[in-house]
Amino acid sequence: MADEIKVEQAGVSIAGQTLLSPVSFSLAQGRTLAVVGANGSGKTTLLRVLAGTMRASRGTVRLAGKEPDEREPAFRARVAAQIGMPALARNLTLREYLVLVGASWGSDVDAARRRADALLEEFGIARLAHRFPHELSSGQTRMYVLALTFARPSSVLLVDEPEQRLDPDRLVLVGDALVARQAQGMTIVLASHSTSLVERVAHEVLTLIEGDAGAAG
Amino acid sequence: MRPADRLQVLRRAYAQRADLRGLGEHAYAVYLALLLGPLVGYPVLRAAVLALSEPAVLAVLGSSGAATGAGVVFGLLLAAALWFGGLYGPVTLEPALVPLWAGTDIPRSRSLARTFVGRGLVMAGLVTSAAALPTVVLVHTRAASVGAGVSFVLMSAGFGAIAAIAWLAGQAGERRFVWLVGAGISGLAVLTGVVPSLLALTPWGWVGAAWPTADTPGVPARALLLAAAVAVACSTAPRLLDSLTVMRLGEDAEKWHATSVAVVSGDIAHAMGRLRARPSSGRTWRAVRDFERSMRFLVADAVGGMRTPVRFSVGLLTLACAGLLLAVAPAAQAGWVLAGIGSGLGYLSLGVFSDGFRHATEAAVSPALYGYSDATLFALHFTLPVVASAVALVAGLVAAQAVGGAGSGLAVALTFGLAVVVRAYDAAKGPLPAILLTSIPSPFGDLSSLNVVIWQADALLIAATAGAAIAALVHSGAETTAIVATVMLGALLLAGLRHRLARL
Repeated sequence: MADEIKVEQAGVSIAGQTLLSPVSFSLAQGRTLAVVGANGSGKTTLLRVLAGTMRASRGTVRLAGKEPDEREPAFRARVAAQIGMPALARNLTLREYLVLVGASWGSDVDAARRRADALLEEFGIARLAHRFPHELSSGQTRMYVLALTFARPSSVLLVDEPEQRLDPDRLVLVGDALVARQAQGMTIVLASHSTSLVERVAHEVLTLIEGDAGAAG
Repeated sequence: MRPADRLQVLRRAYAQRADLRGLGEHAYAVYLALLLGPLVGYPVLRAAVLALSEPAVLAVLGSSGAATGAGVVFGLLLAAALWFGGLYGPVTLEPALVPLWAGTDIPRSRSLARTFVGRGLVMAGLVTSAAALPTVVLVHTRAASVGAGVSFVLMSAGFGAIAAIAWLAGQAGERRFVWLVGAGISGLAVLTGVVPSLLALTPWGWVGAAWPTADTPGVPARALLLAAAVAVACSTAPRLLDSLTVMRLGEDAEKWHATSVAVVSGDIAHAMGRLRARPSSGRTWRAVRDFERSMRFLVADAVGGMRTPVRFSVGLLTLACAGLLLAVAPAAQAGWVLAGIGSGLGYLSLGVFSDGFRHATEAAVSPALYGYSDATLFALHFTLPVVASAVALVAGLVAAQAVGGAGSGLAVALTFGLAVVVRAYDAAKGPLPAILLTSIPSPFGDLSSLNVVIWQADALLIAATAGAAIAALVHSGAETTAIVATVMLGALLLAGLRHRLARL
């Protein structure tokens, strides 16, 4: 199967500081790569490079044959990323914002509503549908942010440490959601410290070591 | 140890903290006040007195409706004090002081009394000063007697005490209840303006009746009634202080600490974000409807805005007032001053309808969530502020006709249109450039803070200046020039917005 993502000796340095040591890997369409490593090893930086919000200062990065650039509409349509906290609509309920985001990708509002309800159910937050974002706990916010990222269509999914602030039951739900996307043929890059999540969903594992080249295995 | 002694010990211990201002810092503050007082305070005060001494203004101050107007203003002030308490209460402490002052077995009516009395006196002082300003002008121009002036100012001070209690009640009360009571009071205040005979039944009516030029009979009786109302209000203060929860005190302390840090570091947008009211009502209203996308965003933004009803209503009302000022400005003498104020007010109140711009900026710096480009998302969020401006324009023109002014729709439309663009431009401002913090030594101290203030207020300054210029151009008949200049400035600002978004 064709490589969806191909990274060759890509690294990031800013003002002499290395944020990501050179790393190489390739990932075929529909496969899942788990990026693991200690804090500060460059996992989030690698995801940012793949999401096109940061440029590699060395090496090459190709996603569907092109350099990642979030300014490109076609790239934005292809890649969904959950890196840090996305923009939340403070005056809209969880369900309403999911519908608004879903509808922005071309589906009609009724379809977006059905999709929003399904996502709220999938992430175990259906009973929170009519809450405002500030009324959520940190774990609930985490689940909602993941639901938001999944509310938009994409063929490549980038997720940064989805296990943060989640209890074991919620983590199982996140694993279920990722497995479901795998079954749909989605290519996934997941940065994680959760051994159980990595073992459950990853086809391949890339270990980043601060100051050293990453190794895929 | 008695509670009073324990509090004394706590105060002494706190007064010896390491980060306490030293003598040098206090001396510098006094030095700055002595320098800035004559340089800034006096001219502003003098300008205000001169403006109030204009024959047209004096005619309004001395008119038969002035007492009613003053009464309504006092009524609205009471509602505002209550609402303000919901946002920033008089008993807002340093976070570290909350467990010390409110976490022990000492009744909060004792431990928090000093803090409340201090802030309450500030509130009462501000109300008294605001009342004293027109009074001084009226007495000075012999439109009112000294006795009438003193009587009005004293009654205003009494009302200031009631407002201070309302401020505390706003902090102590359950938020939804506070908003509702505030809405009820403001509605009643407006009603008393429409039916002035009702003023005799309200505390604000009693103060209004003492307006220096009103010559209303029965002012001493009203003063007695007001004194009784002040006594009743003050008697509730201990109970209100005791009802303050440690949770609320902690929340307020943390919020204001974070806000003050953000302001000091120049991040006003973040600070305002922390203060912005959170939605609490209307969660079952349908905000996202199956409409064409610009209409969908208009409805979503409008319903989202109405979920903070007080903020939304105050924003709309202020925008309409700005519309009135802008409408009458071109025909008024020195109308550019009115237009500058109206434009500034318009810009500030449009903030209520511009949450979408802030959201679009946040979305622009995050990985793509919407299926729209950043520019399209910004454009979709233009709809609500434009529609709100149109509503305020019509309201302003109608009000201008009602007060007998010849309204200029063109000046209002141009100013509001530009203010909306300025709002979008300001939403993508980004962090304070570090170079602005470079020290600028002067006899007044380090003037780098002036740079920071100008940087923070640039959008407001642009809006106010442009509004004044538009009014001046329309007044002089150069309407085409006004249109061309506004369009050019708007285009420049949109280019600036694009540049800012690219840099974020």
